[in-house]
Amino acid sequence: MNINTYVLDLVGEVCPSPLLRTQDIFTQLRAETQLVVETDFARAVRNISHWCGREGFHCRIEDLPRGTWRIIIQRSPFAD
Amino acid sequence: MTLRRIALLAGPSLALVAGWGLYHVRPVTGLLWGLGLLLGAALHRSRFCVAAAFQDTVLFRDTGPAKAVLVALALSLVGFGWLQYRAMHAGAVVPGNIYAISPATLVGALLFGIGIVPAGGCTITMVLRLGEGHLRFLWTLLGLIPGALVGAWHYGWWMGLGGELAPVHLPAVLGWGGAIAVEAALIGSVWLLLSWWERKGAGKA
Repeated sequence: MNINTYVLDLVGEVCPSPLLRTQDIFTQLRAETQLVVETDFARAVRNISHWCGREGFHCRIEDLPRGTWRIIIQRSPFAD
Repeated sequence: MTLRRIALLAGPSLALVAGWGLYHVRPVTGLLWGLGLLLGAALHRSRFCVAAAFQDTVLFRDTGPAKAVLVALALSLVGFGWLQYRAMHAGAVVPGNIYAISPATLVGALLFGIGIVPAGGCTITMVLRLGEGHLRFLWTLLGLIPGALVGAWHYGWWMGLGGELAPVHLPAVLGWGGAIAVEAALIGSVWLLLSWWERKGAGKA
């Protein structure tokens, strides 16, 4: 399946902005598009994954070097 | 060796050497330094944040941070209760922040609440994020220093406003059993209220 990706760079942003912007963008995306959020704010990782769990979205967190994280969010389960 | 590994080794090593030095100057200071390090690690790993306790509850109906603050409050009540119980029985001065509240307390709380949102958090968050290397919090530090100075300089004026209610030490009024029951009931009620608030919003984005 070909999945479109939308990248949201939130490096440098602090709470509550990361989750507010993630919610705002994700609800505007088409169902098959996945959102990739990059953040260096640890609380945002927790907030975003908690929100995904509550809304029934699927998310995957990657721990990148230099204190940043990549959170991949989609509506359908991950293929692998 | 990567920069990350060097930082992971150098940071704790420096902290331990400083603690060892302090311990030799004055043992209590060294032990407090160690306690501070442990507390800092716990606060950092748990993402504890007082600003988030209010912000996430209202904005996102996410009550996790607020409940974490309640747990911290309950734990400190137990700890301070024990210290105060011992002090009262020994006839010593009862420790703890037993202060009068006044309209100035309300104004201060409101100012603090307005301030922590654009600042990105309170002092704890600022120190933790600066430690992580979040340079944005240097601006918060730059605001905090004059803010604290103005606060200290203006403190007398607020204290002189009047209208304060005399401080109440609950165990002195209700006895230890009563005080513990009232405090446990208060914390329990806020916990239930938060759970209800989160459930009520379930399913809404």
